[in-house]
Amino acid sequence: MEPAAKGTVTPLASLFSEEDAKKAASFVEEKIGEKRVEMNRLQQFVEENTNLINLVTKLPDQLHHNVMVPFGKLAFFPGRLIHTNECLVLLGENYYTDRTSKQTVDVLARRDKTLQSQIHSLKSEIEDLQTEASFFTTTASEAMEGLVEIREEYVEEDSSATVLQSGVKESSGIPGGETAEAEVEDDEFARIMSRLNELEMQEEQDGEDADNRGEEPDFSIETVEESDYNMVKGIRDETEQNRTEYRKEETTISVPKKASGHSSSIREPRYSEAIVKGKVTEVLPEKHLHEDVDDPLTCIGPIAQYLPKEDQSRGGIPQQTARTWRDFQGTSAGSRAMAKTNVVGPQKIQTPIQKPEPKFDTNKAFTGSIVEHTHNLETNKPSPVQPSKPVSRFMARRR
Amino acid sequence: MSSSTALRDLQRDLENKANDLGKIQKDIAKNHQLRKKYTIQLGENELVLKELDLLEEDANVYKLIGPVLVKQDLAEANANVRKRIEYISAELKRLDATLQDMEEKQNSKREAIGKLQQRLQSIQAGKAKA
Repeated sequence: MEPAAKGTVTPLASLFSEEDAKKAASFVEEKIGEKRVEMNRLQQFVEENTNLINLVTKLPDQLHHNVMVPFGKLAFFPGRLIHTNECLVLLGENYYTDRTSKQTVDVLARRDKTLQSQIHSLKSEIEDLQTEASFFTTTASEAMEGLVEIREEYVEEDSSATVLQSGVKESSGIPGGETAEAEVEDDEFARIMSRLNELEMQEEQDGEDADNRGEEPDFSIETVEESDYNMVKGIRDETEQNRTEYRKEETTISVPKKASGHSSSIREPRYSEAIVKGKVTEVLPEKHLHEDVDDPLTCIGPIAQYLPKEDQSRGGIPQQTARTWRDFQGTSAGSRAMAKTNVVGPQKIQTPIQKPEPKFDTNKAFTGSIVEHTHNLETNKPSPVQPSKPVSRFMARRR
Repeated sequence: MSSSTALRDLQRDLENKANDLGKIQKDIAKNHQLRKKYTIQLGENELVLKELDLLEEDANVYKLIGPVLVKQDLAEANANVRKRIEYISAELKRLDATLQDMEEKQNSKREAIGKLQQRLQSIQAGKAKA
């Protein structure tokens, strides 16, 4: 539980007195009653209208009908209805017009339509009022039961973790997992980090950041899905992963490869140049992607990135929490699935572009974007590159 | 002595203001009713116009005036209905404007009354102490 200072407890009864809530509820109920009456009236109209339509359609079936003609209030006398195809139709506002039966039916049908639309709007109004009424009554009953309202400060750490697991998991999972599973690899990790920094600097100098930034969010999301173990493993046996990577990339199965791609590319210096190349080739297609397909991604991406940063700035996430997040993955499956589907779009588009190039390059292209992604990781650990990161993030957000 | 006369004045003032407020509220209610009537008429006229537009040129159109049906030209009837719609919408607009005006008045009156009541209460409290 949170310390008392962090939350306030107010009895609901003090906010809304039970009587007031009841009064409001009864008021709304009254309104509903009025609307119901109106609705009944309209429904009666509709009924009459349909009856009339039936009558008018039947009338011209015969040349004349024998009817009892009302005469005064009580008397009837036998009569005969002739001119069965002629109707004098009241249009409203005391305007009448001569119409044939068929035309009359048309007029009546139009009238029916307007009546139906009126009924429809009334129905939705009644529904609104009903929800309002139920709200009031529940408030009243809650106040009566002595329910209390508990307000607590929003704590980003926990809530962001649970709400946006996808984003958090990824970044948090990677550093957390590493430290947890193999502290021995810490220096290795540091090495990777420094390498990443270097790469990033290079990138920025190349002035192609903007394009890459657009990518950032996508990749971060992609990696989310399996980055946890991929990163950990990937660092250990990169070579293997590299191989698998190529294969996968061809098949356009995006997510895991990219994650692994990071780690491998990070290690080998020659990639850095390759990255630049890859980027250049990618630039054009990517722009299109971001403008069209990627927009949803970018929306998701920046948030995901942003949150992890906060978490880490708070002093790092305990590894155990990282694991619990993994447990939560089940719950977040939905959001991940979304990320996946989104991701597919850009990649599909990318693959055709990649094909003409040697495979190596394609990988690098990915790594280029990946490097950006690793910024996130770095943010966790204070590093010289930090100032640049926020910029990129903002830029990404702006998109 | 002077305080009691002041009190009486205040009370009279308050009563007057309350009466004014009541009047304004009545006016607003009347306005609402009028508006309802006009909107219904507007809807009806629009329906008529639609139907008239659908009629063919040589259709017979009658207007019920008192107990008799008077034959009318379709074009004339159409023009009449149009004019009526125009008139009604203008009227609705006017009613809207007056309604707004009245609501403003009502609010200011309410505020004034609230202030008066406060003053009355404070004076009465002072009196009770004295």
